[in-house]
This record gives sequence, structure tokens and C-alpha cells, in this order.
Amino acid sequence: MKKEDFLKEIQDILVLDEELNMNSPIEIDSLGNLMLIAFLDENFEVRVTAEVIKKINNVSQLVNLIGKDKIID
Amino acid sequence: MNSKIKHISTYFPNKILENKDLKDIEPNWNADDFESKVGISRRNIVKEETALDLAEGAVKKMFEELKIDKEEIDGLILCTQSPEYFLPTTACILQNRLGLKTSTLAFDFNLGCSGYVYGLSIAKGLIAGGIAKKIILVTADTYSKFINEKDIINRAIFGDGASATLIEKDEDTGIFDFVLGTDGSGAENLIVKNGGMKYKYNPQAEEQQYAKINSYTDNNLYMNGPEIFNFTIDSVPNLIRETLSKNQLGIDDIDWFVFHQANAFMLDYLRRKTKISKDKFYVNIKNTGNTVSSTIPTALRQMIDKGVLRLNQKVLLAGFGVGYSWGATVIKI
Repeated sequence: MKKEDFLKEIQDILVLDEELNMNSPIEIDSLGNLMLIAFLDENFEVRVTAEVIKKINNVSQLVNLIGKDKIID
Repeated sequence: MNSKIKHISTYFPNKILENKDLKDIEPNWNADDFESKVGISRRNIVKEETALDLAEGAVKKMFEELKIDKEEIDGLILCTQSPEYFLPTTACILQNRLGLKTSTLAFDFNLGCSGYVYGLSIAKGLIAGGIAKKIILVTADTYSKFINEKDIINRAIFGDGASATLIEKDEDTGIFDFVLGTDGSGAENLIVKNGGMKYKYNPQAEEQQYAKINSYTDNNLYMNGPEIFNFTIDSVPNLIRETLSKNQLGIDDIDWFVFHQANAFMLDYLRRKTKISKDKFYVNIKNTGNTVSSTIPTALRQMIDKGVLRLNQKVLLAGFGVGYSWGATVIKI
């Protein structure tokens, strides 16, 4: 997925007004948890548990989870 | 011996809890985002009533709508996780309240979101075995009584309600083959821990917080939403495939798919995963919320009232959740 599309998707999932970059801190609420699970499963075939999501607090951690090679500049 | 669903009635308590009421309690809760994604704007909740009262209301409504002879009823099955007492069985009290004859078989079974499908399988089995001819399957729950006042997200998701379904023997096949399943390894992910035999209700139970704005104690309902969602992604697509295959049907042979109405976003994702077209997939929990075992009969009744579910159409029903427990079948009304 293109980096800008990926960042826009995460922005929408987390219902944020401000644009994100690859190092932005993020906070995931309970609805965001579900949206993120679906997004990662559908687009990257990556399944994440509640415990894993709890530890994510910035975009780069999310990218590491998917695999850096899956996000194209 | 075949069996068929003859009638479905639903019953909800009068008190309405709107999203804006919850927003007043917790201003940091994003009610608009919740409504647009989860699809719920209001739900009915009990004040003093119990699940037994709702169950009675649903069956009495069915008697009014159908004008049936009560003497013909010989089976009463109640699916609830909100029993009146530990004992006696709530269905026994319900039999008496409804004035059903004493030769009626009556019992409860404890299941949540899979409960309606399980109830149909029990009714079908009792009729096929010649044990009963005319069964009322009741679903009734009051999850609001389990939920902590400060647990905004669960208060927003769940509603209270009941349904009554009349199932009779019939020459035609109205209830097809079932696929049922269980995985108790997920028990802790949707649970009310205290108040049973293992842990007594504890008035001093420690308050715990999740997702910043929500609190609960072990006396309350706890739901690990992400893990429940993962469970549905793992189980539901297979459940649908197996149910179609067991009934020797293809996806195009089904006129409607009615899944347990848990959460509109989650349902839409499961729909996409199972490759079901949007126009055959019924979702409507806007005014009721997730009423646990009553969501499927509530959806069916809505569809009948709207005229979108017509005679002899095939409907695939799938229930899944607390336990974990799941089940699916195909029906024809």
C-alpha cells in the first residue's frame, strides 16, 4: 500500500483531524481497535490480538507489525 | 417429521436510552462516530422488569397477534442468561404465568448470541422425535443489569429485549440442517465473573478501567471487543461455508442472510469476508442495539413487517458470541 494511502486510512480509523506521518504518536480507542483489526486483516493479512494493539502507541510500531516492505513510498 | 416457524413476536421494555443520554454522562465519548460505525442510536432497557417479565410480554404479544389456542402448546423453551433465580428454572415460572397446561415441557438453556439458532435446533429435535408438536421458543435477556453505569461503550452496544417464536410440525421443511460449534477457550473474553458459584457477588469489587472512558468491576459484564471480533473473523466465514455445504446449497440459493446483529461495522466486515452481496444481507440495530439472543428473531420480525421477507424465501441464520458458541441453519418461513 502507498504510504500516503496507509496514513490516510489510519487517520480515518482513529477519527483524527490532523494528518499523520510515519512517526506520529497514536492512541487507539475501543472502536478503533475493531477498525484496525479489520484493516490489517483485509489489506495485509495480518491478525493482531487485543494485547498487541494495547502496546501500539505510534505509527512506526504499526508499520513494523505489517512489515516495512508492505508500505511503499 | 419436519417443522416450521409459524410466527415471531418481539417485546421491548418501555425505557429508552439514547446515545445523547450516554454522551451527557461521558462528554468525551464520540457518539457520532459510534452511531455511524456501529449503527446504534438508541436501545430499550429495563427499569424494574426482569427477563422473565420480558419473556412473558413477548409470548402474550404472540397470543394476541396469532389468536392461538394455548392448550395446543406442549413445549416452552427459554434462552436466557438473566434467569429470575438460580432455581427454579425461569421457564417453569413462565409456564405458570402464561397459563400453559401442566403437560407442557419447559426448560431454560443458557446461551447468548448463538441462542436463537440453538433453540431452533432443540425445537426441531423435539418435534422430529415426536416429543412435542407445538413449541414456543423464547429469548429474553437484560444485559443492562450486568453493565457498570460507567461502562459507556457496553451500555451503548447492548439493549434489553425478548422474542417468542412458534415452531410447529409441518409437512414442508421449514428448518433445515444445522452447524453448531463451541470453543470454551474464549470464555474469559465475554463474562460476568462474580455472582455465580465460583465467585460471590462482591460489593467491594475493585473498579477497573479500559479504553480510558469505561469502567467495570468483576460484578459486571466484561467484553474484550477485539478478541471477540477476532473470534468472529476466525469462525463465521467457515460457519457459513459449512452450513451451505451441509444443506447442499450455494450462496445464490439463499435469499437473505441474517447474522446475529452485534455491530454494523463488524457485520459488514464479516459480510465482505464471506462474499455475500449487500442486498441480501440484513442489518438493522439502530433502535434496539445488540439484544443478544433476541437479535435474529427481531431482525426476522422487522423483515416480515417491512414485507422484504416473503413466503418460501430461504434465510440463512447465523449466531455467534459468548462462550464462544456459534450456530447456523437455513429456514423458510
